[in-house]
Amino acid sequence: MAAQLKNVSIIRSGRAILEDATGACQPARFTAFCGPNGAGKTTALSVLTGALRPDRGSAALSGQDIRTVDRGRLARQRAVVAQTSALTFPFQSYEVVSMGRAPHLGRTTRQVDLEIVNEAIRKMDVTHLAERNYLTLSGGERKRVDIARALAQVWEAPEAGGTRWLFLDEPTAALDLKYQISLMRELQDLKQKGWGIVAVLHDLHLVKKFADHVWLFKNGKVEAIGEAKSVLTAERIQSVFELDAPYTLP
Amino acid sequence: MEASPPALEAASSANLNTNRERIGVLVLAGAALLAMIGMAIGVLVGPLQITLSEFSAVALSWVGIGDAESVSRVKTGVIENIRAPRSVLGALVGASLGIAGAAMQGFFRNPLADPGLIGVSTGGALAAVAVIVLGGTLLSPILVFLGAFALPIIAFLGSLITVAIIYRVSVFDGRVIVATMLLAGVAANAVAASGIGYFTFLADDAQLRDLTFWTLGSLGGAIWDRVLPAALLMLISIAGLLTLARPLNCLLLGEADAETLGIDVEATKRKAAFLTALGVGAATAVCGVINFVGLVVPHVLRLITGPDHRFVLPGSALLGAALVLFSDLVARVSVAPAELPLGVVTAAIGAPFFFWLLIRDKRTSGLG
Repeated sequence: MAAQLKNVSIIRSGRAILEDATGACQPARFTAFCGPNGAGKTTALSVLTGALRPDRGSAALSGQDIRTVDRGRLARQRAVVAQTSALTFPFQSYEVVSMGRAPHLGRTTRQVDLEIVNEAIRKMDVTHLAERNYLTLSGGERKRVDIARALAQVWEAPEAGGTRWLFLDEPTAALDLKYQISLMRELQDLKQKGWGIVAVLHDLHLVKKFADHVWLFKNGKVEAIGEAKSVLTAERIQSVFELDAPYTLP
Repeated sequence: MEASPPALEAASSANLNTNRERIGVLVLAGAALLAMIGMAIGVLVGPLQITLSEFSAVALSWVGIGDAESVSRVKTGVIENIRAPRSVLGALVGASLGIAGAAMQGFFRNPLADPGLIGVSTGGALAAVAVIVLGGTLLSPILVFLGAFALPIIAFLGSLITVAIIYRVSVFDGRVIVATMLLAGVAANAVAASGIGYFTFLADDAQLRDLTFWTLGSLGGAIWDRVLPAALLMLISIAGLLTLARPLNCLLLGEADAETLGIDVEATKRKAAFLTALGVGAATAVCGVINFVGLVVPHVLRLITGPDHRFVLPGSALLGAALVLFSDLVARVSVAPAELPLGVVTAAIGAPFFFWLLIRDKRTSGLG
């Protein structure tokens, strides 16, 4: 069951920042949201995660209207990695990742929670940062801790065997090349286990190499949806990003 | 040594967490011990010296073990009717102010959000003073209806209105603007202080004790009849706030992140604001305004245990109780036979601490 938008519009100060967006992200697929700054990618992602209510249209996750899903159930079904963290209190990284287990309180044993948190920490290669104050970490280190928190949140399959969803807003922005590639590999791995991955990404090279599907945004509208290779043509890249000449991805 | 295998690594990072938790538990035990010692000393020390054995004889007789025949009737009376209610009140007021400070800093997501600094205490005091002065006339039907709960409940409403105003004024786009919050607190305190001044001026001696009681606080009015209704409200506040530890932890990640973790952010903030105002209002109704407890205590705890509310909330209650009890001791013995206002003592500790926080936060640009 997909994560989908149906004719979604978001209006702010009389202007549509997302206009009549329709499309579906599939489970066991890696979907990338691409487009120029301010094109509506983050807005569309926020509607899919349930953070933003559509002014028109509707959003569904695994077949259920997102407004009718119980908030606890939703939290066990999908995790979100925001562009930046608003944390200003000196939690240790370990504690930050542990908070990913909040929606499972009373449903799993403490031992299971500890194991999952440790696994997530290891997967994101932040074991050596576990005891560090999150606020003293670099942007890339913080991002890896945030992603570990999201992994811990949806580690086990949700009720009724539904799909686990991971939504990431520009997860690679602060990462160096090594961690960009290792994150992409990790996402591929999760995808193969059936997770639905949806990420806002700016680097079209990464998108072409790793993503299955692309939603291309421009001026609040979805310009194109489809297989990465067929959407990201030289001509379309030129027109969407308003380049001087066609740009061919290697 | 060879590099430890992954299994060991996992085990040790699991211990990292439990180590911090172990420190938290130790801190809670220590704070509880301090609070109990504070309560006991409060009963023993005063113009009439009471020995530990006399106190324990009386205390044991309360729970039906032995009798207190060996202790003079005067001493028994002093313990039961003067010192014990004062100790209980001091502990509850300190606990309420401490935990209220910790919770408020949690839902404002800012460590400077102190009920005293932002006017929540004086808001409660103004409401209490207004009721006492106008009570015989304008408000009498309400007072009759509420009975002994009138004063703490109305002080709670005064505190609640203040929290709501300060929050509305200082939050923009889900984020607290710290300078606005502190300035709004200055304004709220000024309004409340002028109101309190006006009503104390209007009041006759039978209605109000002096202005210092309301602006600097005192445990001097502790008699069981006044303590118990407020005590009930403070206990409700403390117990309720303790249940908010995990949601408040998630809230510190930011409102959007807390929502994605399944936390009902609005409900959490409403509950926290309500319970905070309840505790602060009830405390203020019986002892006047006591500042800085809610600022100093949670900070000290966060320095030791980190910001985890599972330790900061109960720890602030226990350490707050200890701080108020020992401050009251200083207030009583330092200028005996007279008594300092309690708020003078807590401010002497808290104000320099507040300065230190401002200087530290300026360096780390925490006031941005």
